[in-house]
Amino acid sequence: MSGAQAPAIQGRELPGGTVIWLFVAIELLTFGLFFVGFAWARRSNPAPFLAGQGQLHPLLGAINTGVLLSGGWLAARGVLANRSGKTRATAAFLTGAAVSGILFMAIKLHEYADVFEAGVSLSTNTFWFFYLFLTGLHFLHVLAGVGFLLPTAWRAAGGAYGPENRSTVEAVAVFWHMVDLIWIFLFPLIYLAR
Amino acid sequence: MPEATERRSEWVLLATGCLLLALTAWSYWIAETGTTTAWFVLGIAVLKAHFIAGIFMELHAAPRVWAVSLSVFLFTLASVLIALFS
Repeated sequence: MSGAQAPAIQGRELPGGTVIWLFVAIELLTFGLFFVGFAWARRSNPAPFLAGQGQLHPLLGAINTGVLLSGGWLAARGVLANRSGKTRATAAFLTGAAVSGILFMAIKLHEYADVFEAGVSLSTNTFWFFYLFLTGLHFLHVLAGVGFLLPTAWRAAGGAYGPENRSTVEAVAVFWHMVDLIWIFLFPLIYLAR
Repeated sequence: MPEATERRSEWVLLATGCLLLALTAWSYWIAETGTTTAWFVLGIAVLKAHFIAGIFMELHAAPRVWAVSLSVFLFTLASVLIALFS
């Protein structure tokens, strides 16, 4: 199928369709409000935020950012491969993106284990509430992303998608990139900005 | 999709991915050495978000209203966050 001619994208269109982009818009607005809430709370009482940041591992956060960005690149390659009718490559790239999500979650669980071992909970202080709430919510999105990517990769391997049937692969990739976008702001907010 | 177009797209994606990783490493290094303030790492985040939205999510080829809306949202969010951190 690698020689198949993909239909040219007609004019300017949204990859994956309008519905997934409306969903992305709502998600980004929601997380944006939470980020502003985090920054507002930090401005009101910076001490627990500075102390909490000191207990985190920015290197693990940076590694996790790299892992998610690599997954984003793999998802984008999957979309490209699908447009060219390369079914096996599509499946491989989407599976790779899912593996990056699993790796991200493994590193995050390691971080959570450290935090909980130190006796931290949602009620410890404002910083830990925001840390656990925001990263936990993001974690659930990563989990959902992996849950979308793996079956899509499976179906792609079976030839379910291709140049004429691209919207599912594109919508799943858009969701995965949205997960990236949210983390791109979470990482500096929680780990780096002082 | 013509082979040449596909190859070019692959290179653009690879270059974007490498740039995003480099920006991540840079922001981490800058923050760890304590040589800058919050506005800088948040500014890098906005830059990275633009690359992800424009290249990975292909908003550069989407109807302009979506690309402009996302840009406005990202800049507004970053501005508010930077103001609250300053």
